[in-house]
Amino acid sequence: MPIIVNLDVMMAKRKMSLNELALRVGITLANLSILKNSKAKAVRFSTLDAICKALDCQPGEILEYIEEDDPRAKLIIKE
Amino acid sequence: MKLYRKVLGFLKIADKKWFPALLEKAIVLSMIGGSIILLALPYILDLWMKHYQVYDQTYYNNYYMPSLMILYPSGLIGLGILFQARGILKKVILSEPFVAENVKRIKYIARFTAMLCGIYAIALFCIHSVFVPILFIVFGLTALFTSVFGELFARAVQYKEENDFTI
Repeated sequence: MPIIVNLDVMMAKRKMSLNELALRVGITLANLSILKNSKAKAVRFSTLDAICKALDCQPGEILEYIEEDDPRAKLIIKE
Repeated sequence: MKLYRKVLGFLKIADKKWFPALLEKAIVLSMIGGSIILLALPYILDLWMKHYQVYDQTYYNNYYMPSLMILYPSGLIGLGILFQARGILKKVILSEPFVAENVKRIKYIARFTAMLCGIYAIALFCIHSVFVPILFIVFGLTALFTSVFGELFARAVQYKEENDFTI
């Protein structure tokens, strides 16, 4: 799927660890890892809302659409 | 109403953890028993048919080889079905039945049953028994139902994965 989650970029900008974000958002570390590695099939609005609140950002800063021939898209499929 | 209660009772048993474990053990025993019977098949069939030869002298000569040629592949395929069923039950015991591996196994069972149907289609021409057409129909219907069930199971696995990966 050519939609990637730039959670790590936002986390680095806000200097927030995965554990801290998981605590603030209220989801498990395993689920947050799935989301961070773009393995998720869908994201609930409630989760997106909580992430945006925790990271003080817009959904567009976390989610990004990329073309299928983009090298990053191949990386997601290979993983 | 009584039948409904009986079915409900059975479902309650099937829901218990020990039931799939017991079934798995029964399958292992069946596999061992089946393998022994398969190995001794020429002797068992010989004894069985010689018993009937008392009544019909042509019985042994006409049906020994065709029966052996039908029963051997049937037995091997039967063992394959049991092996796949055991794999499914192992996942059921681990409380994770909705996995892609089980879909593959169900599809294998459907293919094996279709093979059995094919074998008994051939047997229709070489063994003249009332049970051959019955087995042909039973295996044919089972193959169709199992393939439909496999597709349903695949859809269930897909839904489960989507649910699991919805964050």
